[in-house]
Amino acid sequence: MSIGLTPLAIYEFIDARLRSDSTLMGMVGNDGGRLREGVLPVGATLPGIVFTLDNPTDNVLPGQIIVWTRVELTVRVIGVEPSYVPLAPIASRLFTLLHGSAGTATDGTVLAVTRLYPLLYSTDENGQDFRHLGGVYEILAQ
Amino acid sequence: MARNGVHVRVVYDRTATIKRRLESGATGFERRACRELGDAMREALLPGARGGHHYARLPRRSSAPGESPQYQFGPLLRSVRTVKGTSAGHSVVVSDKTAPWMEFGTRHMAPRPFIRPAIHAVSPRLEHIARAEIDLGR
Repeated sequence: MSIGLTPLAIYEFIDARLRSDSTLMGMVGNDGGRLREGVLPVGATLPGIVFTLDNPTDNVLPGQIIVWTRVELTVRVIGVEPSYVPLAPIASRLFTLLHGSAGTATDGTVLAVTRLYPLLYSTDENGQDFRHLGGVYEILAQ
Repeated sequence: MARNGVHVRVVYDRTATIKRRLESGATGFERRACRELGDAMREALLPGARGGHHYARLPRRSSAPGESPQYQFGPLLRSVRTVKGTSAGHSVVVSDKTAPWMEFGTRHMAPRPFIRPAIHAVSPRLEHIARAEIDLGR
């Protein structure tokens, strides 16, 4: 375990926490491409879940002691639905799994996961509307 | 019946001044904080070095995941505005439809955040801005 690898620990924790939940995987289908960090692969069946880790910052004390690393997690379920409603149970499950969670991963410890604000927006790609529903979470890890 | 003793009424005649300064300072704080936030967003959206692909149809090299969006034709930058609401205070509005796409990503595009980094850049200055604006109200 190393404080220098906290973003990796966060990635491991989030990926394992979501992937190990049979209810969530039952909602999106566990074919390997439905839950991804970064972007969904081209041709992925929807709905799919994408998470990204942004804006990592270290809390450093005098003496260059890193107390913890703060990262913003953006996680959203993406669907090609005409409305957000069919995606709501998946987004709700994501919230249940993440908000207030904590735990240990191979490369560090996640101290706290707290939702900062919900997300709801749509994108149009080649004339087709995609709905995104989820939230942005603050994660403290060491 | 006569009342004995002394009654002292405290009248602090600067109360109205302090109230006026605080109100003026709060308004000025919102206005200036939003202006600085909007400026920080615009600065992030200016043309500059980016690490993504250079698509033939675009004038500049695009941003890589995690970088702020590259300035290609400018609608995103031009859509950043500071507005004053009717009842609420000031706010920064990014009206271009691609703003959430850049900030949080799309189906096949990873985020190119420019709003949250601007907030992180301006946040440490908020206390200084508040003090400065209250001082200006003197």
